[in-house]
Amino acid sequence: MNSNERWLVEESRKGNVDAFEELIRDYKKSAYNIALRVLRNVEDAEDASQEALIKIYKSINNFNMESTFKVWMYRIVVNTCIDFKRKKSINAVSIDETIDLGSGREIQREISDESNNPDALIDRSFSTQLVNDAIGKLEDDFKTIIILRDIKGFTYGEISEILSCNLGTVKSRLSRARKSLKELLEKEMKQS
Amino acid sequence: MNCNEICDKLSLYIDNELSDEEMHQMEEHLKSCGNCQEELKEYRDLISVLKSLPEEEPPEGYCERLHKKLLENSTQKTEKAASKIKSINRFKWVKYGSIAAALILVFIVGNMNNLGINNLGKAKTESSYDADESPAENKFAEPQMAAPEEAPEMGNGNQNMDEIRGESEIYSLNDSVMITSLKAEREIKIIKTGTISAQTEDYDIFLDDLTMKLSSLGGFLESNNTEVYQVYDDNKLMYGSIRIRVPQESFYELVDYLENTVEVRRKNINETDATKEYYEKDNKVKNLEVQEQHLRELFEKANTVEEMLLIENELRRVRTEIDALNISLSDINDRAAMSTINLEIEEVMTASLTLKSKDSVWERSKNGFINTVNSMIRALGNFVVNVISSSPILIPFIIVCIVGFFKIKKYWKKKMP
Repeated sequence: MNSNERWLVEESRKGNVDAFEELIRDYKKSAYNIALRVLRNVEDAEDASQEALIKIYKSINNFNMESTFKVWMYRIVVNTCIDFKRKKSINAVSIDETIDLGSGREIQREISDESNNPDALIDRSFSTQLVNDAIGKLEDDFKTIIILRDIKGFTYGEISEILSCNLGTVKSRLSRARKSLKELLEKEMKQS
Repeated sequence: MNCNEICDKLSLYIDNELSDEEMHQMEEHLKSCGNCQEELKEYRDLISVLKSLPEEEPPEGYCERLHKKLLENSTQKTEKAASKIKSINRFKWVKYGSIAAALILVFIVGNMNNLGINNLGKAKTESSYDADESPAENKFAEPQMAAPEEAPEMGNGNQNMDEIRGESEIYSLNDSVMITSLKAEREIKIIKTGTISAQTEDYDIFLDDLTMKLSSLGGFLESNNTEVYQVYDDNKLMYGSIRIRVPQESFYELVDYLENTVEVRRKNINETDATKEYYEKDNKVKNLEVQEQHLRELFEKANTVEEMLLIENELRRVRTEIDALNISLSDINDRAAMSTINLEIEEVMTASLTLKSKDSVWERSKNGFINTVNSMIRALGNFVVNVISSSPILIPFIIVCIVGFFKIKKYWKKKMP
């Protein structure tokens, strides 16, 4: 942890919002992207990532300078996003469910299908789209570990700190996650 | 290693997380196995694709909205900090409050001890104006303090004091004794005992006078324990614990005499009516004697040895019972005839003056003031003594409290970032 970051943390502790924004300048985009991958929805990603960043700001007093700020903040981001998703899934509705308007009238939900929408595919290579979809289908544990290792490039040690688990768990989980992702991709390739 | 094991380890191989030995085995295998090479390549491709995945830009206005939220939380944060200070202040109150509570507790316990000691009969030695502070003691001391010179002849057995002073319990007790004596013609057995603590200026003269007085009254000194309790300059201050037996009709005369000659600090007079107990036992003895008579008659008629033995056993039992009852009867007789006074007398340099209430408001308030000051001084002394004596418990307790307090503080600090 460099001295500049340390100074920014100290300032943030005093309640200096500008210092905190400077501190998270390079990280907020990553935070948003992690949220987006976990939640797969732009609005939710914004809400969850901002919730996480505010949580970081509020609890910056608890950050001990021993670990790096990056590792500490990603832990909060990952946990917040997973929690957000869990809360959301409780309130989630099935798209097959009919909406009851009362007095016996029921209507079917109309949900736009963007899977074949050409606009959504613009500027994206086919394989990227495929990989994103496959990541989206992974279970949360696998998804987070793939994001942290292969997309964000954290070391095994950092991941174990972020996820609060031991190194052996990181190794085995990452192996299984990659295998699972590869299988999903192969399946998608065959379908398309 | 077979291909399955290799596949499981490919992920670690890519990240260089294998041990040297495993790495070596892996490389050996990969050289010979085309399938696994293919697999490895697929993994590498996948990871490179993942690495190159473009990051999505946050939606427009993301930073502004975040900034706004942060500012909102910033004010909350300062408020929270303020409330934290408040809560720390609250903890301070808790801290000081608990210390105060502990001190009050020690104080109360100290005074209770003081009271208990007084009741056990150890007279206080300090020369204060008035040692009587507990109302229980005043019950008996008050009439005496009020007007000892007015005290009429109490020792003549003709207890007629209750008209004069109806408020005192002793006399009302005598009153009830009179009523019972009217109901039955039988002899009243009243055991009178007194406990008196007093001070005198000259112990030896007092003791001589007392012995003379006792012989004139027909009483005697049952026991006398005298000791030197303090040496003051060249004077020896004596302390005596004396047990006086006096004929019951002279009991009050002696009490009066003591009140007039020495400075009485505590007086406790007790009259127990043993009449009922006495006659119950007496009746029992009579019944047992009748029974004994019957047994004797039976014994004479007895034919077999077995019968004789049985009757003899029964006779022995009855006789033992009669003897035991007779002993306790004679004891009651003795105690009723001769009253007991336990006198604790201590020699002081100057006997404290008796404050005789003249019923003047000024006098009484002065006494009250002196009493209050005295008891405050005494209470303070007791408090100090108790703090010091309970310090082996109190100090660890306070340490535990302080440690606990800091733990709680720490916990709250953690809980409310």
